[in-house]
Amino acid sequence: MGPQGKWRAEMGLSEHSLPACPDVIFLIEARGGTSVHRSIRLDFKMERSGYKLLAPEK
Amino acid sequence: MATNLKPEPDSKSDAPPSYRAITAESTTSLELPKPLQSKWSWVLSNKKRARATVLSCIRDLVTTKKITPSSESVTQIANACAAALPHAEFLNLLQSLNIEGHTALYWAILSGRLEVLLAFTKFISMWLYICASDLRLACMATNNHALFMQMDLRRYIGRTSKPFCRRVSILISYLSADDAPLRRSLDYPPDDVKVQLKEGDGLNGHKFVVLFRFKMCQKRLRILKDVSTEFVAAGMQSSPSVYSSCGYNNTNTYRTYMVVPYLYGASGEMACGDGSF
Repeated sequence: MGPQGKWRAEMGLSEHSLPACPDVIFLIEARGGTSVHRSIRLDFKMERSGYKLLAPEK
Repeated sequence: MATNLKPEPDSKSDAPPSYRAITAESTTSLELPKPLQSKWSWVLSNKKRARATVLSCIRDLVTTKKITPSSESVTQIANACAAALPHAEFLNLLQSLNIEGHTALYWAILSGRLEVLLAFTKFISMWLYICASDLRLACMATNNHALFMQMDLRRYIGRTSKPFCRRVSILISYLSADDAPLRRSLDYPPDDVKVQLKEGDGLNGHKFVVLFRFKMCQKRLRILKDVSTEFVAAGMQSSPSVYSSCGYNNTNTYRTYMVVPYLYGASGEMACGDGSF
């Protein structure tokens, strides 16, 4: 996707949201087409990132 | 059947309203509640105070539980309000924070008066930033993801817009606007975002599942370099001891969030969002 053939996934809180401590599983699946579908599972865990809370945009 | 509810040309005095200006189809045929009828006659009689009176009518519609006109009457009232003011002034009135620090549309959402919301939003072709922000807040306060999607209040979060940063322009670019040229070119439908609440699951009892369907995702990633969306969802707060004093919902532990998932092509020099939250 990108210049190095990689892509990244991010997640954030929009304005007005209260801070949160999310525990998120991000599952990406291809839909349609004829190729063999593979899913990618990404875990967003706050404790792994070293941050305490996720805050909304400023 | 058009109604002639525009105020008459300025009279020299503040005389009582001239009911000759009101056609047979006007206030009497609207079958308005009495408080609205009296206010509406005042609009016709005093042009200078038309704005204040129209605002008062709208305020009653969106905040007063006692007045519950039918959907047809609401539409007619909205049309009459629009006719009483110049178009730009009416739009400004609708999109200003003039009722307890919020727009009338905000209160319509909070009070569940969706017919009122629909009647007034049909006059608005583009949201002002301040109004859209207010409506986003209302959708979040009521945890109404469906309305959030229906009103197309999602903002475009991309590399060019510095993700997760507030925009400074007055007219904010929303998802549909930024996405429109490519969507027309590739002819793909809008992205589908569905939020499902899962109760009684997990440690905290409240979780939600969000299903995104980014249409032509790979093509868009190659061309735009990123895809994103927003959704409104409610979940259990994980750390109630830190922010327990404020809450958008009735309880302190059940909060509503607006979340942005964001995919983009990565390169060595790109650092979008790093350290932003």
